[in-house]
Amino acid sequence: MTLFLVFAGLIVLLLTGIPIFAALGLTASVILFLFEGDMDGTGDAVYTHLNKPILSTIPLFVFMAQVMIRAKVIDDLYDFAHTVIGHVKGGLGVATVLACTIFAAISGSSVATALSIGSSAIPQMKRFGYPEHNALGVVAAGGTLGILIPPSGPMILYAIVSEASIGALFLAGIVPGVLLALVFSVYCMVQARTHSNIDAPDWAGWARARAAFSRSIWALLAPPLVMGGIYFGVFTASEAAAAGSLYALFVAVVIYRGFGLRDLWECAYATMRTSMMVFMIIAGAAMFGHAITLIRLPVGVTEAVVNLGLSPLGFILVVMVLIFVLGMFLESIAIILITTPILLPTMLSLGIDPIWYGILLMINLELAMITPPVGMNLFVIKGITDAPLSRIVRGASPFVFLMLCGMAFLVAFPQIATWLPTAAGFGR
Amino acid sequence: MPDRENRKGAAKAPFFPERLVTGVVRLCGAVSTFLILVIFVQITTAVIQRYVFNRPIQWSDEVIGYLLVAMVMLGTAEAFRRGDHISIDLVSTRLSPPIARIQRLFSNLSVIAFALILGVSIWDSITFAYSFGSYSVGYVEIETWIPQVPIVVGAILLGAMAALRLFATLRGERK
Amino acid sequence: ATEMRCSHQLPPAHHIAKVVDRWAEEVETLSDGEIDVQIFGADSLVGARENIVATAKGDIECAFSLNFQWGKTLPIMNVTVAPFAFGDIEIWEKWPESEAAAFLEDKLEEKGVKNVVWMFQTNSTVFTTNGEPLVAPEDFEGLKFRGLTPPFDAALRALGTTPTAMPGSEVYQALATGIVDAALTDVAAAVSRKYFEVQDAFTVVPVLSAYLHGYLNPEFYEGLSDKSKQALDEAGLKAAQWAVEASVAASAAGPDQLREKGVKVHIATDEEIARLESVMRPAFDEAFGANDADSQKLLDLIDKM
Ligand code: NA
Ligand code: NA
Repeated sequence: MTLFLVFAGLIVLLLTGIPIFAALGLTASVILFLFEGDMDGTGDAVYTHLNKPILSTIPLFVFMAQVMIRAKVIDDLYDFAHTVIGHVKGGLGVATVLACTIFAAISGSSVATALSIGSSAIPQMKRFGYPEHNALGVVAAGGTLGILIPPSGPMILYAIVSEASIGALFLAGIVPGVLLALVFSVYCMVQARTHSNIDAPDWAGWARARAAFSRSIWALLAPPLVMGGIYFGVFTASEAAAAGSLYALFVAVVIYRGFGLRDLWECAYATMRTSMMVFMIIAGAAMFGHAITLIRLPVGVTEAVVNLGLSPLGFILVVMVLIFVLGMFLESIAIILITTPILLPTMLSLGIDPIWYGILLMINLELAMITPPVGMNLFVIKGITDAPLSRIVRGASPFVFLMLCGMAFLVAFPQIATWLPTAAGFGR
Repeated sequence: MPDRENRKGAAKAPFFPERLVTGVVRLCGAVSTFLILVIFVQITTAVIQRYVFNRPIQWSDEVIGYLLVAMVMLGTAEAFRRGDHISIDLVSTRLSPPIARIQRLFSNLSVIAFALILGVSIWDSITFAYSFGSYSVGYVEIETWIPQVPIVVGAILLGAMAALRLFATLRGERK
Repeated sequence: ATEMRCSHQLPPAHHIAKVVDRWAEEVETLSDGEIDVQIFGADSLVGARENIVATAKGDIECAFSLNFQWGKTLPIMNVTVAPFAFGDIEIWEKWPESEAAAFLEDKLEEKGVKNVVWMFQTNSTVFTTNGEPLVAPEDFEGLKFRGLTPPFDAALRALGTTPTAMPGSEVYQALATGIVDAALTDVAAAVSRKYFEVQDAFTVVPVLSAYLHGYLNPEFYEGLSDKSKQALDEAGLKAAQWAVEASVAASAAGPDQLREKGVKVHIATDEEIARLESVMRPAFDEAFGANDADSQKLLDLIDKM
């Protein structure tokens, strides 16, 4: 009942069209005032959640993208993609999914993935005649791959709370992540075929392709630099973001020329504005999470599920529904911390593999990022495009369906996740 | 207060608090922008220190955390001024003008309330931490209230900016 | 029943987190349900860095902190972190009812929290790396080491390493990729945080000795009935013993659990320990500078045990 009232209250407040951070913060304050009689701790919650060095990846990856866009490095990259696969209907959508997949393998965060790819991809997709809501949806959904394809911040957190192997989880995420990317790509092509208004020029010929390739080489070199830096142990995630920014500046100033101090400042200012939008929602979500944790709301619901006494399959299904619902309102870190310790004992006693569950959980947390009313990737896309939220939600909704199918598939065939870690020697 | 027929002239007329608040908000937005560059330079320097000079900057991560808090809180009012903070627009874009005006009033009021709650709450924490004498643990041992101060500043700026907007809506301006 | 919300930072499966849960049940039982203890582990309610102030201020009623988290706020809490200083388990068995503990409890009360339980966490730490276990001071030369605190880093530097600071959540990834070559952690954590997946040589040495302690908001404590206070006293003494038992068991099981994963485990001999201590201790002491009257008095009280 409390659960219903809290979430109904939040939804009503959100629908009045006040800023999302204010809706989250005010709902939290009302809860605290009713249950505690004061609003202590809200300020501390905001401070604690913003004071995290890893969050520096958000402005830095945005900054990298801004510099590459302003210097028109990204234009060349998309010209290349368009020249090579533009004649295939939906090819640009596939290219965007591919870019998200590559970036997901660089970053541990879905927000960073959607931010960096979205800032450059959406204007380009529109440039080549993609329907706007499709472009928005592809990036919102493709961006979520950031936490399923390793490295992944939420996976590390889940592994520590559940005592599952981090290495095994990382490996287990690869196949489902790549499969989802494939499904997204196929969907883009199918969708493009049913919409005749998407441009699909004729094949431009090898000479044009080669020329486009050599122009885009500097942009193409950025992912291996950043990703290689992380995999070979040169950089941590935030260092990779800084190195990527440095590289982008180098290319902009030395190769493309004409990038002055004024451009630098404009890029930083645009980065500031985009980051603010994300960070203030993190702040509001921190207050909201603090309030409902304090009144033990998610704990109560999760305990109720544990006490239902279900079969393994029934348990997984009910838990997935529960996390889907929580995911509409909460961000992934909070969901992991709140539900995992309570669900784990029952899960183990039912013989459910924590690695397999971990991957199901990750896909569900990906969904949380593109389901309204609180979905970070929806907000990110909104922040960088100014499109109405309803259009973004509409664009992302087919992908919600695809991910739900993916989860059902993974429930039916657990080997998709467990095969790779088992083959690599992670066993019980 | 100027009446509605006069509102073009009124908007142009120098309105001291508006110029003052807008000026300070823009200045803090610039500081926030500058802090992004500082964070970028600091992380880059830390990498170079580690690899080239084999002397990692131990305090780097802690300071990045503090800089992030300052960056967010100093920039949020400027982002609000530019209309960057997003809201769910499923309903609000379909309202008739008079209702839309009430919606804007409510929206600005909600931001003022948010700023007030955040500001008062963190002010409590700051004064308590100051009298308690608590220090951060790690490589930069500073009193814990110091890095929280930007939150008070940010809450005041955000509240003031929203108050200006509220006032402008009351005067009948559309934006 | 009076709600008592307790925050701590340990993951739920940690051996001391389980002692905290058992302590909570014992408090509820002994107080005949007058106190309703609600545990929020794994930083889920209040962050590790904020626990002390949040409790003293009264935002929450109770929290648990590792001793070194007091830092400069109450430096005397860190006297036990000197390398190799408090490896003797007997001290910890006698600790809760000792004069030394009473002395620290007074200091905590002066500062503004009411201590209710001491939980000894570990005296069995491991140096982890790849290749051959780190045994002699020379083995450490040139390694990039995960840093801990400034005085401890001085001790690591004396061994010829380059300490590199990073949050606990990033250590696994950093060890996997080689951003750092080696780390120091307690045996139980080396198992639970899966360091054996990315490191293959472990040296068990009693270098660090840490404890978790539970404390209440003083006003909240004063408001409790005598029966509840009595329950907290009793539960505190019991839990202190459970913590020692759990730590000893975890320390004893840890090396074998690591060996089962197929990594090299070396248990340092007394001679090897003495050599490491002779290098690390002077550097630590110089950087820590624990020469105030209170610290000296605490050290004397511990000597008497
Ligand atoms: Na990733
Ligand atoms: Na959501």
